[in-house]
Amino acid sequence: MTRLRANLLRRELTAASLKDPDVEDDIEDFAYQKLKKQAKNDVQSNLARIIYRAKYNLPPNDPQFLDLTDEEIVYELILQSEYRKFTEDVHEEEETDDKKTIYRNTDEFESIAKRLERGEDIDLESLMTSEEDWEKVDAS
Amino acid sequence: MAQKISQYHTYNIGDKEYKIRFKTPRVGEQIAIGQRFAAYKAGFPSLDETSELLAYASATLDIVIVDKPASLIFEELDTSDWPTLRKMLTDYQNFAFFRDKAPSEPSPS
Repeated sequence: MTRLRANLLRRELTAASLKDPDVEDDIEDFAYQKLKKQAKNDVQSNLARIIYRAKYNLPPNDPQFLDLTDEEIVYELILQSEYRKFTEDVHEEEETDDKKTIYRNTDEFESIAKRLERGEDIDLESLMTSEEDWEKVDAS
Repeated sequence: MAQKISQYHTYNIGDKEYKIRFKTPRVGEQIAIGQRFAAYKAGFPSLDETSELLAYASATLDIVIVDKPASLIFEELDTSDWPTLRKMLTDYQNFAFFRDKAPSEPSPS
């Protein structure tokens, strides 16, 4: 803390003490509380910038960050949000029951089912994977 | 997406006519606006509304005017040009996206 800054804070603290006797005469704590208040205000007024920096792990003086406009920052956050929604929708679609039904009702499955209903004798084992595809395991 | 630039606006300041465009400031430029605004106000415990508005307008317009003419010096404006300065700030704010509002309009005395 520079001497000038300390003097200014001291004057501010004295003024605050005159208004409110409960304010403690601790300049370090006073400076900390002031910074805390400023940070709270910054979070409220610059939320998009803070989210952007946190998302991409950027320091506040990063040249690429400083070179962005607020519109670009907000657009990027909306874009990422929309992309996330898009990927979640795709994922959900793959797991729906409709998809499973389509998978089961293949032409081959339907024709076999109809033949079984008509009472035809079908060698179901022949439809299974051939034995050559199985690996022999020594049981001893 | 790039920095947005406005259409040309024409203003008469002093005996000169200026055709200027505004741009949306980058984050670094917004910090510079804040620093200039703070520098204008430095040393004054409090400013009246008119002075606050003038300081804000000067600090902002210094940064957001594209290729600012060298002869356009806001700190040296005559009081008769203050309405034009206010108009410039309003035009800029109408153009810009996500800008903070200017300090409140000074009440007529």
